[in-house]
Amino acid sequence: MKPKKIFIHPAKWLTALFLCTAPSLRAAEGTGTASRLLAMAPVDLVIIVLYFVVVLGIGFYLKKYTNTGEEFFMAGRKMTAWIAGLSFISANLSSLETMGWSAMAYQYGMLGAHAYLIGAIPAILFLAVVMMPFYYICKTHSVPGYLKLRFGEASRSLAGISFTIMTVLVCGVNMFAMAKVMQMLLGWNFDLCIWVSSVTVAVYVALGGLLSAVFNEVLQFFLIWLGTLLIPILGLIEAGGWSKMMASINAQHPGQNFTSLWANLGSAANNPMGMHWTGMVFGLGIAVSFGYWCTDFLQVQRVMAAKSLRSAQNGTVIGAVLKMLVPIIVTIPGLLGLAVLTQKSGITLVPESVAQATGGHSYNEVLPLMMSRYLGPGLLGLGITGMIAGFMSGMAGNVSAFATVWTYDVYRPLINKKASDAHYVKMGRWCSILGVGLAIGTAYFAKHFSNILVYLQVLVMFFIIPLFGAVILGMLWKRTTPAAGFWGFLSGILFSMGEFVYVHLFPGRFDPNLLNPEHVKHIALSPLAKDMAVNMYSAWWSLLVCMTVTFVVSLFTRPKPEKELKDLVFGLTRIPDEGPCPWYRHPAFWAAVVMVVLIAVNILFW
Amino acid sequence: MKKINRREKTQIDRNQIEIWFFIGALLGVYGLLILGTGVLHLFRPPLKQMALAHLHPDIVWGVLLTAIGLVYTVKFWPKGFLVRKLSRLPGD
Repeated sequence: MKPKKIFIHPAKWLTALFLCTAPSLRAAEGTGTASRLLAMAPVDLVIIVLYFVVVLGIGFYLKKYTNTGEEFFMAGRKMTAWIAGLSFISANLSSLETMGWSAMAYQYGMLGAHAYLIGAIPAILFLAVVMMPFYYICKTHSVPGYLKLRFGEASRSLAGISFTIMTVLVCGVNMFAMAKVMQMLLGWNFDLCIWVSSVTVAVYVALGGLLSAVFNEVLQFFLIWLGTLLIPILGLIEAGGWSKMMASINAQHPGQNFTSLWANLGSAANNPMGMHWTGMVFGLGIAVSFGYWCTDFLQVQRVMAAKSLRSAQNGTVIGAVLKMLVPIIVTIPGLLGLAVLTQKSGITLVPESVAQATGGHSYNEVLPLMMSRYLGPGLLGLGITGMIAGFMSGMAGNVSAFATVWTYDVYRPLINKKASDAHYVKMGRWCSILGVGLAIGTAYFAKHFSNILVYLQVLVMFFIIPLFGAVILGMLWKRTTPAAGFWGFLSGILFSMGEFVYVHLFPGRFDPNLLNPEHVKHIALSPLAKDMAVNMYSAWWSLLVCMTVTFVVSLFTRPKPEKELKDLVFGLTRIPDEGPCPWYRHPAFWAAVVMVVLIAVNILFW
Repeated sequence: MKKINRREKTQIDRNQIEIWFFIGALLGVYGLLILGTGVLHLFRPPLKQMALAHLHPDIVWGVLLTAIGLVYTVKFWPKGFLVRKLSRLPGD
């Protein structure tokens, strides 16, 4: 099979980045052996076991605080801005992300940092300032819940069912990836990893619901940062500072530009992604980024649980700041790999196919290699614990979102409309266990049928981006009709699927692992486009189709009366008075500051 | 399920241990473990020497984690946590 190139999933970094490691994982499966990249001491094991004890303890402790639906599914809506912000960003900061994006930085240099800049910050700030008031004021439990209020039951059911399927599958992929990565790095048993992690997640989410998931996400944030931050610090000391690191990279790769964000995006032929700047701006910066950050309920649920609208907005802005800092622990280790590993250790990382053929190290191993270079006993345990925490909180986030959407957007409206609150809480607890069970099934399915991973990676893009198109028009334009919302959403989904089939279609056959350059050029404007570029442009076109259909159908169908749109649409929503707020605490002020910093960073690394 | 009235609920919420306390406690223990390992390595260097081991990153990081852990644990120590537990001891 042709090896998959490093690939950025347009809508779900978690799933996408898994594919960065997938080929080597599949190879490990094939041989039945697991190379052990890292060796642990007893103190490392003690640190890992302590983590499991604490997360389970938190789950048992929080059970008594999650008796009502509002407490179990929305953490009682009492999170402070900091907790909401940390949880918001941690739900996205998985271990696959840190490993995958370090590999991106090793392979493509600074281009990999776009996911943390234009690929995230404008969308997060838009969510904070523009969209959050609508989500928060209408007091819905979920994004599909907003669709019900705005467009009716059909749109809600379509979004609810697609979301529940998606979260379970993504959770399973995460579980599979964790077991495989641990097997590869530490030689741990695959089945043991699956069962220990899934039982732990099932216990603490079933007991404490979203509250438990949020607590563990905040804990995970500290563990990932403190477990990884030493690598860029020690790496920069060893490399002699930032400028010497860059000089070393340029000296080792003459004629290649590893240090620019935009300078090599003038033409698809000028960069290894085969991407023109329009793909980065419209595909990543608008379609993918806004779709993921503004309408993926897994993310939005965290800030919807804040104690007030202002806390929700400030929490989201805090999330933007934290997101912009992630390249410190992700991009810099990748660049350090380029500068230090070859020079000091004589190790040059290679593509997966070459690594498999020669027994060398692949790009995806850059972060573990840097860990093994700098982190001794104790520190290594902390780094591994950060990775495990990242995997597990990713699973917990998916499971808690699954329980909420299933209970409120599928079970309650379609199966049992008149049950008590206590019944729905019980359903949520059982759903958490069921969700983990389904995820385990997905993980084992992925183990035996690795091609399913190719479909799973695009599944998220099929639904999330059209969902954003329907939601944003519904929020900002009161003329948008329920019929238009439904048909716009559905047409966006179908168009996305059509694009996926088209770029993988060859005369007489369909191969999801290969791109047909003749078809690719129609979608991504160049036959040179790689997976990332194709996905960016596909996302942009599906968003355009969704919004166009929604707009046109709205012109020919009957809108809802204005009184039914109160607190749901721009111009008909009253922002509640939350008391005096000095300018330096205002979300819009901090959003503007973050935007200025974003522009400055882009100019600095142009 | 036992019904909890609003007043009791407020009381329970007020008594809920904050996440920062858990983080502080865990980081504090981690810090002590890493610091202890680092100090041990001063006297009995490990077989495999890490890059920049002469900077003793384990000691530096151990001290940092212990300090962060201590600050968070003390600052967010649950109000009356130990007092409540002790007051429930049998024989009181």
